[in-house]
Amino acid sequence: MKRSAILMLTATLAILLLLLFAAINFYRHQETDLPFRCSAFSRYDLSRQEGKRVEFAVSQDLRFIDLNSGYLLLNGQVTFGDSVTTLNRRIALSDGEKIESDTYRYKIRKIITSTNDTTPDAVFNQLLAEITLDPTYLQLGVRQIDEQAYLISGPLSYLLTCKRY
Amino acid sequence: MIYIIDDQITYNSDDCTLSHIPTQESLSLSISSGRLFEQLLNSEGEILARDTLLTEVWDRYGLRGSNSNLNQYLSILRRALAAYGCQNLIITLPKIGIRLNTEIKIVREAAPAVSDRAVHQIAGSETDAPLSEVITPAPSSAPEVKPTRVTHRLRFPLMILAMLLAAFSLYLLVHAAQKKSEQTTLQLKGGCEAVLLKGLDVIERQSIESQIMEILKENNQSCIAGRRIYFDNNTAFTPTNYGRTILSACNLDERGRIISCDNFYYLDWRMN
Repeated sequence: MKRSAILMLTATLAILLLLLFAAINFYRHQETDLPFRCSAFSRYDLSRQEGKRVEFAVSQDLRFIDLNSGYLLLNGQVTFGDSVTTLNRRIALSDGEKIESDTYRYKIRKIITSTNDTTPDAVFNQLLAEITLDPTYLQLGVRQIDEQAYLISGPLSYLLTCKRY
Repeated sequence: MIYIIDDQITYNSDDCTLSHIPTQESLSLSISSGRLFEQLLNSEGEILARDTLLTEVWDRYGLRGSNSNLNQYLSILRRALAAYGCQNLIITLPKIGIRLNTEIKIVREAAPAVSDRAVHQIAGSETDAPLSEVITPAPSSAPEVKPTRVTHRLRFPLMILAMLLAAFSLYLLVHAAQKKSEQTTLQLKGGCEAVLLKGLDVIERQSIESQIMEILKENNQSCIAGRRIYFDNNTAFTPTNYGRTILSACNLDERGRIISCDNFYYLDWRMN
């Protein structure tokens, strides 16, 4: 076998191998690719810093439908001091991008308040401030921790563990 | 065996020595060249296929020969013979094989016993004098035989392939290990397992376990087998603020996969 043939064979094998690696990597990342939908229940206790009871008991439905649209649905009950209110809001997302291997950033297009939502915006904004520092953008990390379970992190800390569906 | 070729050249197959009778010059052939030459000299003019020569000269001795090796050694032989005035002894028949030129006379003689020669050499007799002047031409000093079978030639590509595979495997292992190394799993008293997302040191362990148990208790959550707790705490920079604490209590199925999780998030949570 000629030297050039050996070199050609080597180069071909190397290219094939790289393609294989790329394919494996591609399909590995596909696992967290869009659409991504997950839900979980959370209790956010923001009381202690305020010296007053501020508690959100909400079910959350996070959906990154594609890079152009998605939403975070928050539905539940809010305890603020002595008052208890209903929370039913949808944070509508648009103009998203995957900024790292497991981090998505979407523009908050609109926060849609349901008619049965009785929570004052000022109270809701306390929760929103935990989820995102910039009220115009939502940036969440999505890290797979189990077969169908993901750890969602905000800019300040981990926020919740949810089950993908 | 000693072969006398055209009354001009002798070839001693015992020590692979080619000698020019008129000038008493000698040269040593390499072992493979010698074997090849002997095969040709014994062929009595028959055509020898290349495969036959490869088998007889290399394969039979556990070596790996190739057509290029064969061509190289034939060339060495031709040059050596030509240097001693014997042209066209070896004839190549394209795509058929090799044969000796039957028009050139070849006589065979038995070689003297080795012990006799050794004695003569020690005594420095004239008949063996040329042996001490053996010249080894550059081509014959080339490596004996290069193992050049396909499997051997594939060694380089295969090595590259193996190295790439090893590098990729290492990358995956390191990547997985890095992710795993960040977290620590504890078995708590109730039977549940707790995954500490950032890991912990030995000193923290007791404190973390207490925190987990207290948060579970505060939220009416159990720590029983079949549950997994994910816990993390982001300590604030100020001593008056404990930062953010997240605990996820997850239920597992019989295969240990997460079915659902309840999350408890605290701002400035601390143990009572």
